[in-house]
Amino acid sequence: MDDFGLSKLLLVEDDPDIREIAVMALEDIGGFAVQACEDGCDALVIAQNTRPDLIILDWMMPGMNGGETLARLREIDATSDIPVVFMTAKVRSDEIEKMLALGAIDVVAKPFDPVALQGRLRQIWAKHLARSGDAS
Amino acid sequence: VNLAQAKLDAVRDRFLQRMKSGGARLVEIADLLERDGGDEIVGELGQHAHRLAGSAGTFGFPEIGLQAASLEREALTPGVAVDALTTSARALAAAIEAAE
Repeated sequence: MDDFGLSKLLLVEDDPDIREIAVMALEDIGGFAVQACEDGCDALVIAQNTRPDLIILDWMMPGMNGGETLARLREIDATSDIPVVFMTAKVRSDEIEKMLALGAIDVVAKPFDPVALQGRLRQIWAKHLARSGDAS
Repeated sequence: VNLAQAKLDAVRDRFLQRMKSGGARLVEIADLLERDGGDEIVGELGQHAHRLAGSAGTFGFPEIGLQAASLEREALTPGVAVDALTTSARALAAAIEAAE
């Protein structure tokens, strides 16, 4: 399947249960190469070293939350242009607007269907590429 | 996909066992809250509920996720009555115990 450049993912999620099932679903069903970590600090290091195609970021995390992590990613040259999707239970319309305003390309709602997760991300990626194409 | 589904089922089973252990902890927290009260215990209850609210639905237990989200909101409400919190916590623990 041609995913138009979407193959390496970084998942940042503090809940080990969610991390485990999401990684499994994205690798085994989605066929992605997934790295995962539990907090924003680790995410900054991994993202600089591996340059994933897409970062999936939890919002509520101890220490640096998702919004702060995204802001830091945007400040670092090596990570400033990596697209970010939030994966969160905070899905009121005002909360989603805030996340998009921070620069996320979309939001995946928790709870999510593990089997459908890879399809949702591919859909988001296709929309992102279409928007980028429109902008250029 | 069948192999992936089998792996997902195994992860779900492990989650169910951990959730049941967490349900027992919920009852302990409710007992502590009733006996001693205190913001710290309410905070622990809220964190416990938050984690379940974010995960239970993903593992196929949507009603428990909703019940946990409701308990989390209660725990975050300033001046919430201890009786209400302990009742909700025990109801959530009972729902977890019944889950399969």
